[in-house]
Amino acid sequence: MIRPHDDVTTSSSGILGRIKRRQLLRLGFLGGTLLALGEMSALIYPFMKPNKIVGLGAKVPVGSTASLMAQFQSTQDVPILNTLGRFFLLHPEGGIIAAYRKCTHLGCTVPYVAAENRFHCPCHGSLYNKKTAVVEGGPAPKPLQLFHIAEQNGTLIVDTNPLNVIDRQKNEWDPSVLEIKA
Amino acid sequence: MLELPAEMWRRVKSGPLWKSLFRHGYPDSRKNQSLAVFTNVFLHLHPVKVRRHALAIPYTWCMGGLSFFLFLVLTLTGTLLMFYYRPTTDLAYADIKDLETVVVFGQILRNMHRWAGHGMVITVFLHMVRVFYTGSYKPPREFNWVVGTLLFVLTLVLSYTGYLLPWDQLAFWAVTVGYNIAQAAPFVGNEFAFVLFGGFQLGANALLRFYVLHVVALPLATGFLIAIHFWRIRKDGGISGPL
Repeated sequence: MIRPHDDVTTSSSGILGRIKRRQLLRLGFLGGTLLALGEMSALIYPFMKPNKIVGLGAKVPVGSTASLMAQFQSTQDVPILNTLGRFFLLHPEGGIIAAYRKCTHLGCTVPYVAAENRFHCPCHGSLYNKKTAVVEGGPAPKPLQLFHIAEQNGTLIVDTNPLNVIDRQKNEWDPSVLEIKA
Repeated sequence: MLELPAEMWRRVKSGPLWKSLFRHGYPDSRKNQSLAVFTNVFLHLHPVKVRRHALAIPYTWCMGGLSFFLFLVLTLTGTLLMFYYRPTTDLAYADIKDLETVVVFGQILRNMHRWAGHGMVITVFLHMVRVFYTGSYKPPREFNWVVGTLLFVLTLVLSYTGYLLPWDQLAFWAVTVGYNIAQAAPFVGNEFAFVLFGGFQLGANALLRFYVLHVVALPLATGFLIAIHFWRIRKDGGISGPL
């Protein structure tokens, strides 16, 4: 078997002088493999992260303030459901809020029950106010969370990102959360 | 009278086709018995010789073998179910209902898949219990214990991803609980859940992702680790002996 002479070095100084051929090949192969794995991870992670959000998480247009207020007036403030965006539009005194439909107890989807004139969670019986979504009974620890609403060219846009909500800790109506006044 | 078939049989056995398939004689000698095992791609993972004590059923209760058997049952029934099941939010539930009520043998295949899935979680767990109580995780088998632990985790993840696919209330809310658990991970929880499930809540993305993981990615990883697991048993001297 022919082996390269250990004492043959092309240059005597620097890193090249100290690394032997086989070490270089081994390092190159190992480095190449690690690089390929790193590139694959760098591809797969952003690939798996969705850019297009449908439903919860999207920015949902819900019409103008005037048309919503007219609807509230004609129905005596029955909450307006947006199923895909998973929220209710409510009419507290002085404005419009968008309540995230997720029970603050254990996360069930809360329906509005017309016969009771309030929200009634079917899982464990949490009750929320029709106009402000503060707790009226049951195990829920705090009011329904609120989505941010912005007005753009006369249309209200509800930002349904559940990681960016108005999280009311106190169980009472506080008008300072109003973003749309009417 | 039997000379003609005997002659033909001899010719077949000495011909190139036979010799390309079999590299050893009839396994009636110790050499040929060994060759029969380790020249066969399916048997070569298995030890050539098994110790007598290892054949006693109460030592292992066959839990490892049963886990593998259930894995094969799940692969076969799962592949058949794939011919009818479509992983979209508007079709998945109806397809499962069709499998239960319309497709010939669909109900038994679907139920076999479900029960074998539950069964595999149980047998893998009991297998780990046996390995623990017989001290079979000790050197030189500590590497195989780690492989086995990974297989246990894969079994649970396979079970979890399969749970979502019927897209009924039970599946949706059970996996929603999993989503919330993933979100509870420190620092990376929200981001991790968003990337894994493909949204802020369960939807079409999550269903399709779980389907792909359930039928391709996880079974491949599991099969790969199973091969290593079996090979490693052999390399570590077969099944563990009495202490």
